[in-house]
Amino acid sequence: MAYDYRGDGDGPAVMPFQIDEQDEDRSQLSVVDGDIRPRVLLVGLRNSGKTSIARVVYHRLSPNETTFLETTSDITYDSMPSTSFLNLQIVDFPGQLNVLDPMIRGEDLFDNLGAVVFVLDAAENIGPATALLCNLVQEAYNINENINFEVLIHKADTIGSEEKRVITQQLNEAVHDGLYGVDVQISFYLTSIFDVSVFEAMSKITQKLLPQFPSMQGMLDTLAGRSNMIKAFLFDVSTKIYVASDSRTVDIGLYEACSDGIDLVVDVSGVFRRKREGETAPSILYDEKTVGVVPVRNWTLYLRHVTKHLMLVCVIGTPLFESKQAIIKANVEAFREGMHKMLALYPGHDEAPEPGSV
Amino acid sequence: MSSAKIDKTKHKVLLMGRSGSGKTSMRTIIFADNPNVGVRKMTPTKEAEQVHLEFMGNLYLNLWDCGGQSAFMNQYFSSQNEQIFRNVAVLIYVVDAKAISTDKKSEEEDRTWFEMCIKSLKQHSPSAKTFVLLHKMDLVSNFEQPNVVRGTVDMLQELAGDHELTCFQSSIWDESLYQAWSRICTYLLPGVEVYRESLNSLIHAIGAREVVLFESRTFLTLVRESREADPAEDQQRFERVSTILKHFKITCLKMQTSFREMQICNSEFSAFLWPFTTSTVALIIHDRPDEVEMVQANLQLARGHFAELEAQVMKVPLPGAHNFDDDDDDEYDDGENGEEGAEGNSSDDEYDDARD
Repeated sequence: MAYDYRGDGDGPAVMPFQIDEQDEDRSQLSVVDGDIRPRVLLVGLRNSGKTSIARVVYHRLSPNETTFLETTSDITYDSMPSTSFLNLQIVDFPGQLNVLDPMIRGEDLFDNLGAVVFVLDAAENIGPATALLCNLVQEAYNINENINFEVLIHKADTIGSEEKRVITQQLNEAVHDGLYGVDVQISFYLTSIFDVSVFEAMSKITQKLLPQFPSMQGMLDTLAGRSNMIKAFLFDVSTKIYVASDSRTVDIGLYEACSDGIDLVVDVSGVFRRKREGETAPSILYDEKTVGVVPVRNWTLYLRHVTKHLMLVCVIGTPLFESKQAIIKANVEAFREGMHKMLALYPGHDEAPEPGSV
Repeated sequence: MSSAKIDKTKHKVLLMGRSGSGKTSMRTIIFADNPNVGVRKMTPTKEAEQVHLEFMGNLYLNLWDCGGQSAFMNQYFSSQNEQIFRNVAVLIYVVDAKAISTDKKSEEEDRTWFEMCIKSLKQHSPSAKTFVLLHKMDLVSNFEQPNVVRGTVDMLQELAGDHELTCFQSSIWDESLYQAWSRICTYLLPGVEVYRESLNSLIHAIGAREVVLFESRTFLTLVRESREADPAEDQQRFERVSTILKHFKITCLKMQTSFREMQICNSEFSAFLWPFTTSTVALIIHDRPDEVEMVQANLQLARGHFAELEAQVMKVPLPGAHNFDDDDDDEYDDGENGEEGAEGNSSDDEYDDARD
């Protein structure tokens, strides 16, 4: 073996990915229903910011441009851009329609729904929103027990930190009272489209819907552990949602740095890409040779192409990265191979490595 | 100014325009690492706020950020007229493109203030250069943009008479702001041209496609050279890179760390960002991604030469032979309304404000 390094305490160790890991994945395959896209329902009172969230997170709309969005008047079915690894269907349900009325919402809306994302405006009185939330959860839960309920306390940038604490507590209590006797888990997130919080929340919400998530997390754990990384993220390049990270807690600042690191690599590559004939608009250049090394004083971001939609971002202490670069890079290549094999087991995802750019 | 201090060049820059046109926002985005979303929390500037900005190590911009409310404006043209308008190297007049094209009252105000600015400038600083920024262009629809630009520029040029204007469109949401400020700063630093020839030799020596020097604090483009001009290339690509780099720098500041270098490779080219001389960082685009080490070694060798050139850069005078007299120095030292000290300190403060 070329990198026969046995690790003297802190150093990274070589990490061969064994084939039997894939066998474990195979047993999970039966659970996966490859043909139905997970559906996410975006719902909430008028003007709470539902469409803005969908546009900013999934279609990379600049946050300041959301002011120009018009009120959504009809139920909108929004698909992911084809450049995304995620294959969700977003149902954007306008605030002025009554989601509780089966005639309006459509009889089968809850039947194969992955998650209800309830958006409420942090600056408004939470009373009316809470009432709707409780009724909605009760109704949806009766129809489909497997739905994840996620509440975004949105526009959190408009309130102070004390108010954030108060509103979260109030909401928790109100929901607890309103849903007394219903055995349902609800997650709360403070979000704003003007910072990274909405991306982090949507990442966590999305991860619960991804059949590949447990395998990805396991592989990232192995990679990060063996190479002594501070953190390892697997990103969906086009939305900057992280589809998995190693199982240690995510520091939101580090997530933001990694997410912006992807922008740095992809955008700079796009700017200097040689234009093909007939091309006018700047296009993305992200191919299987893509590597980025960005040392920021005490730690280094090491970014590496995994598939045409996914990118690995590792955070490694700078001294360690400088001294053990070759081993870390070899481990990352082993991780890529493992990922390719694992993803090939899932139908519906064309994630095989291919030459050339996206 | 004593001769011992002469190697530090100071230029007085006036930033004028109606209240709310975006003067302070653009200043803090370019010089104080304010993220562009942070400008939503700005308050109007009161009176003329003096800021001393370090640029390229030895060049100081004595930037007068003049609050644009009528009460202050009236003072600038009456009691403070000489104090404000003397020894000016550059006047930057910022126009809210949306307001001037849709609102009669703003148009009237801009006409009045702009005319007064030019008149005062002719009287007190006849050699000053005037830049006009048609700002907030993102608020004007693509369809209306040509008309708004032509209309406003014609109107202002008519008011300015024979005084030459250089106009830019700008918006804090894209690279146009960096383009405008790059041009303004390189006007104030004509010496950066001495880099050009050496940069050209460097490109050929290392076989690079393009080399760009950015000022290391602001990431404004100083000089750039390409091996061959490719008309198909995006002409604003360097300014676009400035915004990308700046964005990442701000992220790093939030994490209490710093961004100085990077290395990106893909199947077409490699790009390195490297601290080059004390006040510049170089971005090298190289078509053979496998020659990374060689390029780095060559850059290392070229560093010394460029550091020597940097000393010459500061010695090239501004066109229109512009000298500061003793009066100006006294004023700088007294700094009446001034926020003294390097921008480095205040940038941290402003950054903290923006984060809350």
